[in-house]
Amino acid sequence: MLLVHDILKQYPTRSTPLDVLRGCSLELDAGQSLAILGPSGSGKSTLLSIIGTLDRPTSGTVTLDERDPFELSDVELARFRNRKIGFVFQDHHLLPQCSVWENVLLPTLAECTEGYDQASQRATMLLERVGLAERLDHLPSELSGGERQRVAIARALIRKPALLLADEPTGNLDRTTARSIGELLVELQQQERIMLLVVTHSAELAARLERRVEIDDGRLVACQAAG
Amino acid sequence: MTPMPDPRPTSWRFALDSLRYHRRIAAALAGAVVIATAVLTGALVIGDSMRGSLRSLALDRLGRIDDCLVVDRFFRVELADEFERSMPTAVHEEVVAAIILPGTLEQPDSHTRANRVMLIGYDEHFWQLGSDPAPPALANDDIVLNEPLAAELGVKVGEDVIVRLPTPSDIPRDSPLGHKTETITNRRAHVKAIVPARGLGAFNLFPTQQLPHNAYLNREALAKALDEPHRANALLVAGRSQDVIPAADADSQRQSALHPTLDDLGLTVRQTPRGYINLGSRRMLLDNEAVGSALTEFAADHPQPVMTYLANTIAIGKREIPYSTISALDFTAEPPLGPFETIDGKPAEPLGENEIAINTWAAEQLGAKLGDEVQLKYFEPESTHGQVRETSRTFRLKAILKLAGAAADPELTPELKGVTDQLSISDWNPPFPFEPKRVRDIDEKYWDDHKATPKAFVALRAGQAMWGSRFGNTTSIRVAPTKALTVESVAARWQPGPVKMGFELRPVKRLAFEASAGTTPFDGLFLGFSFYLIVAAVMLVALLFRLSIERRAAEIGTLAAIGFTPRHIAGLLICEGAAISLVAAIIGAGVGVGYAWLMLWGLRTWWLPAIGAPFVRLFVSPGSLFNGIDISILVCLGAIIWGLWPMRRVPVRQLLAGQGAEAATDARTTGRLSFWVARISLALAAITSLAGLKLGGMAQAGAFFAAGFLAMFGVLAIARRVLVRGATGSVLGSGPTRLLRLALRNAARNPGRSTLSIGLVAAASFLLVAVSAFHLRPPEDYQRRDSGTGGFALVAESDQPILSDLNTEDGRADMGISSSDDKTLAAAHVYACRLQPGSDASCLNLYQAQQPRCVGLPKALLERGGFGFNGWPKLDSSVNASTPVVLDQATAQYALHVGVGDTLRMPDGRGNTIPLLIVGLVEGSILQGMVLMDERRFLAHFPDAAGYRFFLIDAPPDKVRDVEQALERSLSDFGFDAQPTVERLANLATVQNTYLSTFQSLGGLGLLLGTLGLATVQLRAVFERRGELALMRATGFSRRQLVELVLFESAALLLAGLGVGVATALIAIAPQLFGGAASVPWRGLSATLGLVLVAGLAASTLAARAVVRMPLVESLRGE
Repeated sequence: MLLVHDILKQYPTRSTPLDVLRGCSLELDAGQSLAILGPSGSGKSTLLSIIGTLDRPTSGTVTLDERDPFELSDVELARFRNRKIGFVFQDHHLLPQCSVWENVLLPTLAECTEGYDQASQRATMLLERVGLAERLDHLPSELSGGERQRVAIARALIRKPALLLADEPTGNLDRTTARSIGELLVELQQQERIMLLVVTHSAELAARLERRVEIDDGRLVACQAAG
Repeated sequence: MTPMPDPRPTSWRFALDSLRYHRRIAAALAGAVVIATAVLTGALVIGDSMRGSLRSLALDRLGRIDDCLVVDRFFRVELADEFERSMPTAVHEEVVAAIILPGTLEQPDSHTRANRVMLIGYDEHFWQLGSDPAPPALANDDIVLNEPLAAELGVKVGEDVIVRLPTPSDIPRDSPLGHKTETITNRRAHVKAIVPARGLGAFNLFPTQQLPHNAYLNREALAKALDEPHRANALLVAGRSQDVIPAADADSQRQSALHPTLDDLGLTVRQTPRGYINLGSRRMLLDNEAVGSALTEFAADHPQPVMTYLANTIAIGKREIPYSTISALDFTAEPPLGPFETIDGKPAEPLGENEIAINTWAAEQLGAKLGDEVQLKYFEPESTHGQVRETSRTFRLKAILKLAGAAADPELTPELKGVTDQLSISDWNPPFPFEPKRVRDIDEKYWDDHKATPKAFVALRAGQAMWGSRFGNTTSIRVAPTKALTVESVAARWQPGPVKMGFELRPVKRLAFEASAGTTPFDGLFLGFSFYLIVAAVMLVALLFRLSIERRAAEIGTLAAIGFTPRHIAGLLICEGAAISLVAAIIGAGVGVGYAWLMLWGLRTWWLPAIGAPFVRLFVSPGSLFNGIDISILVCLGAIIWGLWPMRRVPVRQLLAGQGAEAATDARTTGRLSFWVARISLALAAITSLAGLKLGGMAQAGAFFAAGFLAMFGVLAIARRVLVRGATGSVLGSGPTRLLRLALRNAARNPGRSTLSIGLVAAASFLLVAVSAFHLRPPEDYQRRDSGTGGFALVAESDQPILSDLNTEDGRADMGISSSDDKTLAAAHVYACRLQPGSDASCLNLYQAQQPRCVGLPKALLERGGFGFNGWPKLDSSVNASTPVVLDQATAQYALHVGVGDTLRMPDGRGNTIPLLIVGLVEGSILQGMVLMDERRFLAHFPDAAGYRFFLIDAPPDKVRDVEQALERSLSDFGFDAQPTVERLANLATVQNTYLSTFQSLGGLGLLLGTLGLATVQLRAVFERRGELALMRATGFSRRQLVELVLFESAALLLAGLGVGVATALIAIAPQLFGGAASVPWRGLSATLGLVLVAGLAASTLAARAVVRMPLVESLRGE
């Protein structure tokens, strides 16, 4: 379960501090999905980074599976992220020097608790699931934008995370590819019974998720459920 | 199921994949590591080569010779065989007798002269000790020259040369009875062969890299010419192999096998007609060791020491007797040593300190009666500058002895050639001032009847006090024979220690081997010379690595986002760096050998004055290669970690956005820090330079160097502050400088990188210009006493000692100086100094000086002073048991590694170690390479050093050349070699200046490398900005304008670096510049700095062109 409580994020400036988030709170249970919508610069990505432990809040708490990650040391936090959180970025962030296979298995290089055989079986399964089983040796530069994002999704899921965070996962894709990536994300989320939190501008993608919230003036406001 | 690819992903595989992908920057990084390793390994290999070459040269010149003995007397050649037989054969197998003497050679037609020649009298065994073939057998008048000597003289095989060699003398030349003139023997010799200057053709007892002048003669013919047939003065002890260095612990074993006979030691034992056994010396005076050992050995037999001397006059009142011998001994009554009967028929009683006894003949001549005052006039026992001085002492007449029995014994007087062997007194040919007119018929009659029988006797103590000297105080020891004590048994039992008698073996091979470690650690020196080259390469490693990390910021962010710990990410990147470093360091070590070869070639050609002779060859030790690789990898990894370090504080989100450490810099904090660094540095620079104004010499140079460096640091901090604050002025506006303004703004985008670029160039230019301050410029005017010349016009040395005073007309006449030269020399003043030969400890000798040359300075010179040192009188004082000495500062610092207050220990060649306390240093002087002490102390340590061989000469400025020529012409037989002091200083300065030029050349190379490296960094930076440049093109900027934009940015950084470096360096050398002491090689420096500027701009232009030629659309997309 993910509990985000009263998150405040300020950035220092030459004059007064800039409040980006002014007390955001949300809850998400296992298997649930949530879309965060809002205009550019509203703080969507900042909130996602804080939930993903890539950034620290000025105040407020984040609890994932009953643990506050910000109480952990840097090393423990990295392990926590590795085990509990998967990321899909707008710019896929695949390592250009690594093949598809290596990119997917990259998180296991940081820590591999279940053994290489199990990890590689899961990688095979995920790559088959994202339709890239025949492209294992290909480098990212040899893939299309959609294919790269599929590899990024496989990589995000390799460690069976409790929470999958996607930051504008379809932002750089054409409509058809975006649709298929959206479908894939939701399918895998349901299949894996994990929490999915997506920051997006795309109403179409948001509509696929169970819940939707919007950031307005640094606060989360619930949206009406899509039909 | 899709088959799983193999191999599995691992950290190493990840690192290798990354390397492959980022191969261009990896190659650049590897290039920098290769250069760093090559320079580092190269420096170590140069050290190996220098040591190896010095060692090889020293060992080659000694052949199989391990030990050497050269003594000041001639011994039987059979001693060599006896020594060989008594020595354990495990280590040594051959001992060869030789004659080794210093000499001078002259070409008879051209009168071309070669000084400091080593004359070697050899037999057929000598050349077998080396590896080169022996020259043809020599007839009596033949001579073999080595190539440098033949070249110096300009002679060929078949031509004649004149050999001037010292005439041996048993009597010390500094005693009144020693000959002061006719000390040189001239021989004409026929050049039979010329041998190359290698192996024994360059045989040398004191290692030096300079080529020695050697002449080889038939030993026996030479011995006969010296009137010492079948005798030699040197033993060469050879082992089995040239390359085996004898162990030090075997020294005493070898020494103990050397048993010179009494004859070899110049001692005699014989039974006199009176029946006693007389222990004497061919050298008239017995060595103290010989006396001590005899008195100890025969203590139970009541040995009687005797000191017999020549009185010029014995007088009572106006009546006098000329030229009489007087014996100092303690009377004994026991025959055959006594009794000394008085005219009363009673044994004479022991004499008191002021009492004298004369024989009846003398009493009659003087009309003496007991109680009369008897005056003795005699020459002082030691002469200086060949001047004998008469002195006198009065005694009370205690007894008149019968001229019979023990008192009528001519054997009391030792033999003196030219005196005791003459038939009449008028035939005497003594070395002292002799007035034959004073000799009466009655004196001749006494001589006819009694020869040199003493006419008077004083107590032993009184005689030794009057006539004892550094040469000894006993002429003979008498013992009465018994049944057990015969001449044979005395000869067998009297065994003075050979070492104390000067028969000390010198382990020449081991000493040469040790000396080949060199005075200067050349690896350290070249590491210093290549310092900037190494720093430039290491900085490049750091810069390139940081650049590659910056480029990979998003990649690092991704790894962090998916759960890699910072340590793990750093480990992966360091693995990459380590892999590059390892491979590149191995390649670099190979390149380093090539670099060392090039540097050695440079030392043999361009920088030859630094090492004096082109002897150095390439030697590579595996240790140096491994060390070069190890150190290089460690240094490069350090640089990589340094490059990585700032990334630790960059937030992951920022990394994911592709922003590295530079973007994370807090402008305000950095600006404040720079501001304070600038203030403090500039304040310290001002304080240091003000303090420097009150200092002098090297201290002042050091203070201003520090001030310049601090100023550079301060200005760099200001530059950083300006860049960090973006305070480069507005970009907007028009006019020709608009692109320049934009370029400056671009430079401020990455303040750290830009400051580093400026700093790298500034530091190099600073060093290049600032070290010019240490270029030595010899004074044009020698007359300043506080300068390195000491105010002297000439400095000179002679091969053979000069015993006459060149400052007096008589002295010059003794030396046979012509009247015209005499007139010239009358205008000069010569300070003659004693010289004990040894190794040259000046910067001209690369070997470690284990036994440096010692110079004894006369009192007059200590009183005169000079060389900017006020402590000369201290040399005259007694400081504990140590002898106070002064050294040249360079000799102390570089050759002997000592300072004021330290004690040097030096062997005296008689088994003793002399403690020398350093009481002062003189700076940049002609006295480099010598240990300077008071003459009296010198003579106490080196009693056998006769005459004067080192000279400092005052002369009027307009007569310097005339004096030089007159001295060299008049004293050519003595191998007198004079040189203007200014020239001597210039020769010494050439060495230091060449080292500095080497440093500046390599520093220039480093600067060039640094600049090209910066251009590479620039290329990467421009490449990163290709999108931005493409956008500018899209908005209407021409390609040419964009190239100019990039070029202006590079030029701004380069010019700022050069400007800051040169300007602050000028502060550093200000005192020398204004004082005229610095000789800045402006032309060479300008060329170097100009080349750097051109190369840097050319590289930047190429980089900019390459980028702006990229297709517009792709560049805009950033692909």
